Amino acid sequence: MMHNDDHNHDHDHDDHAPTREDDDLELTEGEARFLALKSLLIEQGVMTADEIRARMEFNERGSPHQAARMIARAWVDPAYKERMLTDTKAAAAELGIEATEAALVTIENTPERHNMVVCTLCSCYPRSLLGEPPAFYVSKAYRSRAVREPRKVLREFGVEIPDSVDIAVHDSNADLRYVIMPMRPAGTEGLSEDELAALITRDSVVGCALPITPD
Amino acid sequence: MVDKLVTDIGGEPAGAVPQEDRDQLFWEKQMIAAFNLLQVKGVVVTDEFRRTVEEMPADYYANSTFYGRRLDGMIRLLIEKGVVDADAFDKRAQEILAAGTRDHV
Repeated sequence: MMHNDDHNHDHDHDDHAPTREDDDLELTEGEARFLALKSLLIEQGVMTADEIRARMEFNERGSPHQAARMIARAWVDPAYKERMLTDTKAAAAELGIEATEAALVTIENTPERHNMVVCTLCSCYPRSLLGEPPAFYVSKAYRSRAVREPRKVLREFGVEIPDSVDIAVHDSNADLRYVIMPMRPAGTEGLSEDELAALITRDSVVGCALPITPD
Repeated sequence: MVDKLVTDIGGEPAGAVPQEDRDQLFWEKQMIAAFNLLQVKGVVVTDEFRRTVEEMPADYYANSTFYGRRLDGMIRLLIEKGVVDADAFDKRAQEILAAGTRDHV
């Protein structure tokens, strides 16, 4: 499914290129092989350079991450929270966020249970909401260990979950990806929705961190 | 049929989880975009790609990276489907690597 942005993609992108060109890096064999593949795909009319540029821009839609807006709304609006837990994609659409994942499920942390997400077989991740996955998420070490010793992995991240709290690990796949809704930190009663959103880090939505606690 | 797929590493012993994040390189972003376009255009489907990764030899898989596997799987699948010619691909990749520049593509 292609997106229907309200601006066209024919203009010069230099003023807001999605990323650096890496011109300071030496060409690696991997990049050379990709460039070879890309040039053949373009020559053969499978895709155009403009389509690749437009798609790269579309792929930036999850950055900065959009889940923060949804979770902050859920924290202040119980009805929205219920809708997000029931149908995450529809709740995203309510806030103008186009989630292209096959299915998204939101799981709520509670005082009794902390949740975290892994994709043991590959690295399935809710890119529409969170952008590209962090390095740890695609690492074999995380994929291997998260399901076996989540408490220890979390400790390596500096997150101490008390033994009295269960940890549930959810294994994503291409057809079903997860979003964790952290608990709203204490002492945030007076904060606006935007201020709350700023507390919700990417890693807290994967369950590998807790939201930021204001001072 | 194998007992266990090379990708099935959940629960296996492993070392420390990398704590340092790293931004995607520009070509990696381009590659993901090209991969998405191949899906959107119906040239490849996710399960076919997954199969190409699952068929990687175990020692190759063990030493591969996320982006490296994505690239290898794409190339293999597109050659298998006849979308890309294997010889033309090898020749082009060697030319680009020898030139050592991104200028001409």
